[in-house]
Formats: sequence, C-alpha cells, structure tokens
Amino acid sequence: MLEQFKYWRLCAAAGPVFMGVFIVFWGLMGFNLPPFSGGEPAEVLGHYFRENANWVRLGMVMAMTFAVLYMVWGLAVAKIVERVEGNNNILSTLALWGAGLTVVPVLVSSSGWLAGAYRPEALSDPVLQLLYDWSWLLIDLAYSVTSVQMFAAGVAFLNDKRSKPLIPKWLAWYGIWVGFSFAAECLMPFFKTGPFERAGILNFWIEFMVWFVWVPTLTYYVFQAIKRLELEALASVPTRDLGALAKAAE
Amino acid sequence: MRNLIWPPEALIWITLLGVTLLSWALTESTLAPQVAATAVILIAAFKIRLVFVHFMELGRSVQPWRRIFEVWIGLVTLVILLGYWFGHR
Amino acid sequence: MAQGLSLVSQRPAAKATRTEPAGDGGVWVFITADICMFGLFFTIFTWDRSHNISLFEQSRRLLDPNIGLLNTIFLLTSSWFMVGAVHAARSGRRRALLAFLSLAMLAGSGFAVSKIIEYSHKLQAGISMLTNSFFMYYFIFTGIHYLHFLIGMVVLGILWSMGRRSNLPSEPRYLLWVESGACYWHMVDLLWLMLFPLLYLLRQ
Repeated sequence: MLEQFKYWRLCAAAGPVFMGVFIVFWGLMGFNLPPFSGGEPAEVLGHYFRENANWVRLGMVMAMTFAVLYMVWGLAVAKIVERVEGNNNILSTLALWGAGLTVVPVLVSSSGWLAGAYRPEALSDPVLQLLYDWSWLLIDLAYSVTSVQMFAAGVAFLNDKRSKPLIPKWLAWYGIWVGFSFAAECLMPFFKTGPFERAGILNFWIEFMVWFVWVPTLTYYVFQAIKRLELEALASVPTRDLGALAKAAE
Repeated sequence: MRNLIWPPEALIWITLLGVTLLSWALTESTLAPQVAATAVILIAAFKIRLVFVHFMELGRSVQPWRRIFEVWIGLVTLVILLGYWFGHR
Repeated sequence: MAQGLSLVSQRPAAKATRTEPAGDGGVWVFITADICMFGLFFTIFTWDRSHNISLFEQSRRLLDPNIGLLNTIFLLTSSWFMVGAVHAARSGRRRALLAFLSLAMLAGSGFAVSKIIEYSHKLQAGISMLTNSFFMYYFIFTGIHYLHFLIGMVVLGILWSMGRRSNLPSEPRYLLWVESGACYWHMVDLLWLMLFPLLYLLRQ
C-alpha cells in the first residue's frame, strides 16, 4: 500500500525535471528563449539553422525525450484531484488528459525545429522560416489543452471539503487565472511586432512566466498533500499490521 | 418596490459621477493640455481609490489587500504621468 | 439557518475593524492577478505612446469621448447597484437583492450595447486592431476588458437565478458568492476608470 506514495512522489518530481529540461534544452540550447521575432526576415532564420544545427539537434532531442514528463507530473496532480472530487472522476480525468495532451504540441513542435536543423543546407530560407513559424504557432495555440488541465484541477481544489484543503485555494484560483490568461495567445498570429507577437513581452515573457510559476508552486503543495495523505493512510492501519507492512516495504 | 431602499454609499456614487463629468469637461476645455491630462489621470486615481475603499470595502485593516491596491494605483498613476510628461515626438 | 442568521447579523457591525476582505479570499488572488496584468497593459501603452506621440494623438482624436463618458456612467452606476445587492444580501432582504442584481445587469447592458455600437462604428470606418499601434491597444485592451465584463454579467445572472430559490439568500455560502461576485464586478468598473482616460482623454 505504501508503494503508491513512493510512485506518487516520483511522478510529482517529474514536474521540476520537465521544467529544467525545457528551459535548458528547448529554451537556451534550442534558441527559443526568447524566440525569434515574427518580424525577422527569412535569411536570419536560415542562417540560424545552418550555423547552429548541432545545438538545435541536441536541444530538441532532449526536449522530445523529456516532454512526456509533463504527463507524468500531471498524473500526480490528477491523483490529488481524485482525493477531493467526491463521487465521480470527471475532473481528475480532465486534469489527466489535459496534462497528457499538452505533451503532443511540445513533441510535434520540437520535431519541427529538429527538422529544420536536420539538413538546413539543402533547404531554402523561406522553408526554414516556415518550419520555425509552424512550430511556434502550434506550441502557442495549443494553450487550451493545458487550460483544461488547470481549470479541472482548480475547480476540484476549490471544492475540497476538508477544513484545511489539500491544495490552498489561492493556488487553485491562480491556476484558473493562468488558464484564462493563455487565451491572449489568440492574438499572436495577427502580429509580427509589438507586445502580442510570439516574442512579445505579453505573449512570450509574461505568458510563459506565469505558467512557469504555477508548475513548481503546485509541485511543492502536491508533495505536502502526499505526505498528509500518507500519514492519514498509516493512521488508519491497525498497529499489528504495520510490522508486516514495514517488512513488505523493505 | 417598497422594500427597495436607496443603495448605501450614494454620496460616493454622486462624487464619482461628478468628477467623471469634470474629467470629461477638462479634456475639451481651454486649459493647457498637460494640465488637463495630468488632472484627468489624478482624478481617475482618486475615483479608483473611492471604488476600492468604499465599494470593495478595503478598510485599513484589510491587509495585505488594501496595501496591494494602494501600491498598485500609486505605481500605475506614476508610470502614466511620467510617460505622458517625458515622451518624445 | 441559525448559523446563516448569526453570520448575517455579525457583518455590518464588524465592518469597521474587519481584517478579512469581503467575499472569498481566493477570489482576491484572481482579482489581484488581473489588476497586475492590466497595470502591465497600462505601462506598455504608456511606453509605446511616449515614443509615438503624434500617431497616438491623431488616433486618439478619432475616438468619441462622449461614448467613453457614457460607458463610465453605466459601469459606475452598475457598481453602485451591486453595493446595494451586497447590503441586501447581508440583511437577508431577498426582493431587494434580486432587484439590485437586475438593476446592476440593466446598467451593465447599457455598457454592453454602447461598446458594440462603438466598435462597429470603428470597424465600418475601416479601423481595426491592425490599423496602427494605438488602435491595436484600443481594441485589444478594451476587448479584453469587455470579455471580463461579459464574464461578470454571467456571474450576476447566476447570482440572480440562485437568489430566486427560496432559502438560498440566508445561506453563508451564497452570501460569500454575492460578495465575491460584487468585488469582481467592482474590479471591472475600476479597470475601466483608468482605461477610459488613458485611451480617450490624454490630449497632447
């Protein structure tokens, strides 16, 4: 029985790992932090892919390998939702699918950048620019998939009937707010300069930052919640069985 | 309708309407643009304070929210006025 | 029922020294995040304007401050009616609560219609968010504000329909929702109070 808490913790730890890989490999190595402005000419994109092919390849290979960790983390969150949602599993299922499907645009768009870096010398600048543009359009406009995860989890945590909720209500509200704020990405395809373009202060810096704050903060509270649930589970086990449990856990 | 009493804080509402009309009149007035614009922003800040103190009931002991809103309106007003005064054509 | 009444009778007396905000504490996180976001919007607008004063001034003159004034009056009045709704809810006066909610929505509809008329005038004149930076900010910021406003109207509508059910108004949870909804609604009003002069009234 105690195994579930061990695996649960492992899943929760996947969140920070995902973020670390994302920032270092996708972001810094892959030249996506920040992205090229939509206003840059195709030559700049072409030059970038040709000059940095191996860095981009490495960055994207790591990003694609570790993308799945967002789903793994999402499961840890969804299992907290399960404990508070009452007699149906709609919200936890939505939270899990939201996290799981978020992996898809990350994988596919990373493959787009990787394709640009695979044989850039044989491709024209506009084609390379298209690959870059397409990948960014996908990763940005897939926001509503992640919003569903955030809304489902947020609503569930707000309805937690415990006197001290497993996840604090302010964090639930913050997640719901972030889920809504992603909708500003709808403006991104209309602009190539200014605050709403893909590299703009609002649609890149603010949007990514508000999400990047949510993941580690929620992870911290998920770990706290797991500890509480584990203590509750142990407290409900008759003492004579604890010895056997301890032996089995060794 | 007998049960319907005038909402409380009527004086606040009247003040808000009054200074709103004042703002609107100032813009089209013969006052120097910089004076009018500055007044209009300061009036807006004053109105916003009335709303969060009286309508949203952020009394002095409601912390940290009262402080957050005071800092917010202070910063916003400052930024807007500085931008207005020190912009380049 | 007794618990609801004691909560209801405690509130007005304790108001002066209350340390908790009205409504649900968590909603205030949402409200704070929203005002910070708009604060950033105001800052970005101000920065861009300070580098493009003639463009912004020329564009500003195409806006109608009279409609802007009307919009402000609608929202201020709607907010005031919500204050009435909260006080009615606290003293358990159901008919007054429903009436104030209806009046708040009525005043809000004034804003809704007036903004639609304003947007269509602009669009018919060939002006959109892609016309220039000023109009990009105008449409996007007032548009995002309008979305907030619409969500608020839905919340008011839900509060009204919940309030019609017989003993709901004396339940503490419902009172919390009324107060939270009112605070959100005041935020919508408050944001417009700065958006209006920033876009319409800053003559250069």
